[in-house]
Amino acid sequence: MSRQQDNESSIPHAPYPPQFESSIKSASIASPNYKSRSAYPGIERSAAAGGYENASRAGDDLSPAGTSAAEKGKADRHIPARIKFYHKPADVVACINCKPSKHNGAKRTVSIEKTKSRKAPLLLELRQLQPMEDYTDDAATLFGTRLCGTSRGNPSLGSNVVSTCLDLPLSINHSQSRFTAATGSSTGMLCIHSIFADSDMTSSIEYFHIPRRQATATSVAWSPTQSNAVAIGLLGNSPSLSQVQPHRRGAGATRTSGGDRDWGCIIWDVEKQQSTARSRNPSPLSKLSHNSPVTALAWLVDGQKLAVGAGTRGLSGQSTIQLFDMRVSGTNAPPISAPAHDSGVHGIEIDSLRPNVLASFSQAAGEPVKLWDIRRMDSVLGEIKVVPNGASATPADDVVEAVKWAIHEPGILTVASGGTLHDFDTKVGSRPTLVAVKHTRKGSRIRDFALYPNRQGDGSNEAHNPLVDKLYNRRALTVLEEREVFDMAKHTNAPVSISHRDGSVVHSLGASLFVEAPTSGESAIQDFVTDISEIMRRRANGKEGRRYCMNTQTNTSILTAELGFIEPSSDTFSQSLSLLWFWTWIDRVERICDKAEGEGFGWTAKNLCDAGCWSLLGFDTESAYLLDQQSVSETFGCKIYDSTSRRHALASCGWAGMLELDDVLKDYESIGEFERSAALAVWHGDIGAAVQALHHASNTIRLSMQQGESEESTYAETLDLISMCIAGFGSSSGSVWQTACSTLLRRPDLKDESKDKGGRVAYLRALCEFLLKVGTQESIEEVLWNVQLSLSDRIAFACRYLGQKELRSYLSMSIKSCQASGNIEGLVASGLSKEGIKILQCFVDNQVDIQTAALVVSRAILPPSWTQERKACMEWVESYRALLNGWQMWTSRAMYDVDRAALLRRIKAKNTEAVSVSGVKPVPLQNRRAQGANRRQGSRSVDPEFLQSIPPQIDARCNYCSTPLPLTKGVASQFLSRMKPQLSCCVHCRKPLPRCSVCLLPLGCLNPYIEFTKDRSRTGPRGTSSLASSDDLSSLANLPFAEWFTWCVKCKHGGHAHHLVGWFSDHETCPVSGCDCRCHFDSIKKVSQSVDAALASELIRS
Amino acid sequence: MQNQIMDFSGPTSTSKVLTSRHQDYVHHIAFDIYGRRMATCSGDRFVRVWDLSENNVWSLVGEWQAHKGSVAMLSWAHPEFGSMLATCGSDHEAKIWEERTNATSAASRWTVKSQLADARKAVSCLEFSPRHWGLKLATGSADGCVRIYEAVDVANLSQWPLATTLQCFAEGLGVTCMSWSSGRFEPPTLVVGGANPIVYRYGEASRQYSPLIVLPPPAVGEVLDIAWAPNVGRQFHYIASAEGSQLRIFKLSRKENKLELESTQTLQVINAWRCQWNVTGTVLASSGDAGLVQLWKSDFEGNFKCVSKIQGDIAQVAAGAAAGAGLMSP
Repeated sequence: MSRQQDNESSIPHAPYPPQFESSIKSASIASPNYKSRSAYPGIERSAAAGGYENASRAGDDLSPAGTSAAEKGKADRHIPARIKFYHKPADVVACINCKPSKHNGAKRTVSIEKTKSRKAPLLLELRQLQPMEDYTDDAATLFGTRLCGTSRGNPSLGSNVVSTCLDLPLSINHSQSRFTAATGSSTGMLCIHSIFADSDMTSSIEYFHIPRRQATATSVAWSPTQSNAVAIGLLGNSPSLSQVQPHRRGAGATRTSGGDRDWGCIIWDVEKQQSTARSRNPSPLSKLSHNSPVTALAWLVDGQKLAVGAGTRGLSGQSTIQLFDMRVSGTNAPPISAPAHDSGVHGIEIDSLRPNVLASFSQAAGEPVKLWDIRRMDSVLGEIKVVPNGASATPADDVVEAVKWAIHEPGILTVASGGTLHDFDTKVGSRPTLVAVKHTRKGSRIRDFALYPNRQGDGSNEAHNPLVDKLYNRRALTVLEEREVFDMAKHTNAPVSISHRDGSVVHSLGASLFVEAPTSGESAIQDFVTDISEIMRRRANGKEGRRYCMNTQTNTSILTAELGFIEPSSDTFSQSLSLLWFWTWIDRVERICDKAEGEGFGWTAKNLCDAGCWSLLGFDTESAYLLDQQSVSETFGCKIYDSTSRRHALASCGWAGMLELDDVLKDYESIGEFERSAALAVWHGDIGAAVQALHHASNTIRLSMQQGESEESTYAETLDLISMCIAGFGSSSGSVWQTACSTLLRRPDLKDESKDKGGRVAYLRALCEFLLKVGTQESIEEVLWNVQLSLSDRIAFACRYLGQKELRSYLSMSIKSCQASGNIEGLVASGLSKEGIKILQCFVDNQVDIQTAALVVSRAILPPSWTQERKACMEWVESYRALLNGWQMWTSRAMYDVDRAALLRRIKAKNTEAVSVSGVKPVPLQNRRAQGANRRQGSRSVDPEFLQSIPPQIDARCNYCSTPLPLTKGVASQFLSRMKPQLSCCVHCRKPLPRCSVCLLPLGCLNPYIEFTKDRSRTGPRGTSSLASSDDLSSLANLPFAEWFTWCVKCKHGGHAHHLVGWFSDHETCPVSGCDCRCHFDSIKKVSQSVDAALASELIRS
Repeated sequence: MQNQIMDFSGPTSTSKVLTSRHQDYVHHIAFDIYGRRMATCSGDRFVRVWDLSENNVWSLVGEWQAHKGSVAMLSWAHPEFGSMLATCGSDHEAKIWEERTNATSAASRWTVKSQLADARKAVSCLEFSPRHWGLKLATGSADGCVRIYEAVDVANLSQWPLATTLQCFAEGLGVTCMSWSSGRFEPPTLVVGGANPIVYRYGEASRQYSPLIVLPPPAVGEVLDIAWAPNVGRQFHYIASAEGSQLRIFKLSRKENKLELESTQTLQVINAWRCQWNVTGTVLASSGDAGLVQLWKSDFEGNFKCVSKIQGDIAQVAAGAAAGAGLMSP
């Protein structure tokens, strides 16, 4: 600091020049008695730094030696930046000390700038709002600004002069793109700019000066009613200035005595000046605020009173707001004065919608914004204290930088502090309330801001930007810390919604809705196509009645068809391909299971649960030992293992374990997988079959080939070559053959993986490489870990060529890696066991394909002890059903339920010794009416198996907790044992059941505990009651059916059955008042019949 | 089969502006479960309901003045409970609306069933719970409370007793957003956003909601919108939180019925004011200024990447305004 003062004192004190003279070399306002740090220290230092523009010219002769860059930056920070909107046309702003905008429209401006003298200080800029051309650019804001006019001062001023304050006339209509503006400068002069915002951007400036003393202008105010009166507030050389510094309260102050008579506020007649010839000593209209520094000025709406924020003498450092009435100016009438802030008043804002209200603020930490009523200046109307929030709030964040009244919403005051705009509602009650907070990007601090003015009622039909109109309010132009002008929304309203039906996006801006509006081509849509939600929906919807469902063959054909249309190199392709292989495995295994049931050839697996190779090979028991027969392959000279269980495993993988090799190969060829067929033939050791398969392949291609498809014909050629190559294996000299084969592998259609059609070429490559390295361990390893091959083939390969120990470790490693990667084909190794469920869980976690997961787990019944696994499975099934319901695919969902039930019934019938109940459904609660009917007809028991396999059609559950009203045992508890046999509350959450709409008494539900004990006492100590066989208590309901509740499916109103029957005997509409539902449909007759019968039987019994 | 594949490139519709007829900013858009209906609410106190016709055109089927102040948010109940809508607004109230199918005019179609006036300040957000937890409605208010209402009787929608009041934040800090979890076999769980996100879970033993996880506050400001991703049987939950200049995605593991914060991803975005998941919780949409929507998808490592941007046709809005169809002017 001391060095800085040295600098100041080293500048010779220049007597204030009455007019501009070329002798002004330094615009230093430092005067001998003005050494204290002022409220605008930056302005003093601007002598060194020279404003933004000059400061940016680093290394210029303008910067005195010894001024470090840091100090310059510090000085720069204190040069105020101001921005203000014109009212007509409303998309032009005037700004001072702002950075040139990035979106500088006219290139020519640059050349104009260059022609002007570099010494001429830039005093004012005009900018026009324009919509951003590229909204998706990083700024993501709606508007940018374009420079449309500049005003530079006389070069004789020196380039150190900067503007410090700015005001625009309200009353002047700016037509013909001529704009006027008033600025105050660091030397205390008032500049009236008139700029033509046309192509030339010519401008002229009228200068007004204070007669005697240089002082920094702090504010200018253009009278709202008199277009000629402009007030300028000056800092002067008041002794109390030390207290008026921003952000630093109570800093040590050195005061020097004033003595000089000085005026803080001077009102100039700017028109008189223009009309008359330039007099050497123009006189102001009036001078106010004698001897006190003025830091803020504002005209009241009527234009007759001027509010002045002034520092006071004395130690307190307090500042006041003074109201000067212009009608009594010149007289000695004292102004209305009220002590305002502990520090300087840095701004006064008049609410244009409420002419009597004004807000004042001080740029000192902890100073609140104060609201005043000009009719009662003795007390404050309200105080607003900004509370900085957020994790990165610094103490300086509660310093108010600027305040503005909203133009659209009465009583809303926007306060900028730190990097935030706060909206306060000042009209509700006495205490202002915070209604909205908006942060700047990256939290940069706001220097000043301007709210978009009201465009309504602006009758002008001049060409303006309609978009500006449309999205006008609730936005602000801010000047950020880096002096960038940045358009920012004051709201955070950008509603967006994704349709659950097809993933289409609807979003909104302002009052407009946008429906499915992708700009970046089709990419938005494409992403949804490749998203799993869309894939599942498409598969579930199906085409021509063929939908992805419980039928394995339909699924494989759907997946095959799908693969034809997916880019082979995409992720989706490999996912679909492994799904296809997976479904083929299920299809194969289940067919073998069915066949084994009839013929029983030692096949151990009953369903998917134990059909994995792991259990087929008997590895799930610790002491598993394979009765292997080792033999040495004649063709390849390596060991081949064989046993019954190995054959089973091979069969499950689609190899010739139990079938003839020819049949297996034919199956593959019939679906066009010739390459795989050839590979399998080779691995089975049948070279001839492989040659034949490739021959078939090339023939098929040639047959189906159209003329001129060169790519296809090349591929057919390749196939022929490979078949030749394989045929030559083993017969001729080894090295020659090997060279030929490896040359063959370098053919482009074998090398290029992106052209791989369904992973087929991978098989060709694999088989050639296997033959090349035949007999070595490497050849086997390569096949085993080639991820492009189907895992089922690799496992089968392992079953054939690996010994027991290696096979076991290979299988467990495969399962482990599938559990990590979520490869669903891992189930080939594990089956639908606990390990398999883990693979499925990872598959769901990674790919979210719950459709496949739900379809797979519905094919088997898990043992009841697997609680975690069963819960997961239930979740997939229920989620999938909910998805189908949400897509309104009722048929698909119903088909799924029907197929599932049918399949489960079949499985159940098959393994009668299976201990579990349905693995995928909770015990369903049956239709009460059906139970009532059963009860009425005595003990005709419903087949529990039947009940369990049918998903519930109607169920009764608690309105609160949604748990079914229980009819199962096991809920017996202390609570229930104390309750009556008929419960009037939910067993689970103990909230009341609904009431009968006729008698208004609560509906009753069975107490399962009582029923249970009753039944036990009835059956006596023999203990073998009907309960032992069933978990379901529905058959022992002790409640007469007439007492049961029933309800309308449509309006869901209901009550006791016999009450409803009574009601509907002479009513047609619902008993609930106000409900017009015509519940009296046909089936009510059936209900009444059953009620009659029930009553009759009760009578007989009694 | 060719057609089948072409089918799903079907929604390559022309980018279009739907004239909302709202006189003020639209505050919220909500699709119903089936995606065939859409409701919008606005600062002009009106709620509008739109139906999607067979040829994919949205048409206005209902509009009414719902509140005495701006309508902040709305939510559809599951269709199982009927055609029901809940709205909330700056008039400190939340309201339940039901559609009457036999009404004569479009205006009288929607009748107010219940008015929930417990909040002491503006109600900022609300959402019906997922279907499997019954008919519950949670509202969040600027007074820092989340209130959970439960319908006594599905057949009688006029009674919504207040079940729980959770004082999530201090009085001065409001609840800005909330979202229910969709975990099917988990106790009711919801996340509340404000100064920071807090996860609440209903305890079976204590029979009340208690804070389970207090997530870290955003870097700047408060949480603007929060969205719990639909869980379709994954072993983890995603919660997306839009916080202005960043978008955070929390991954909560739910192994062994415990909910724990596993990892947090912070995505730097241009503007994230709102966020929303798709039906499977695989695509996240975030929206901000200038009508820009970003779509995020997770890659195999679980890192979310912006895969696409959707830009509203602002030029068309401007053209509409030039044609004199000024929406902002009354």
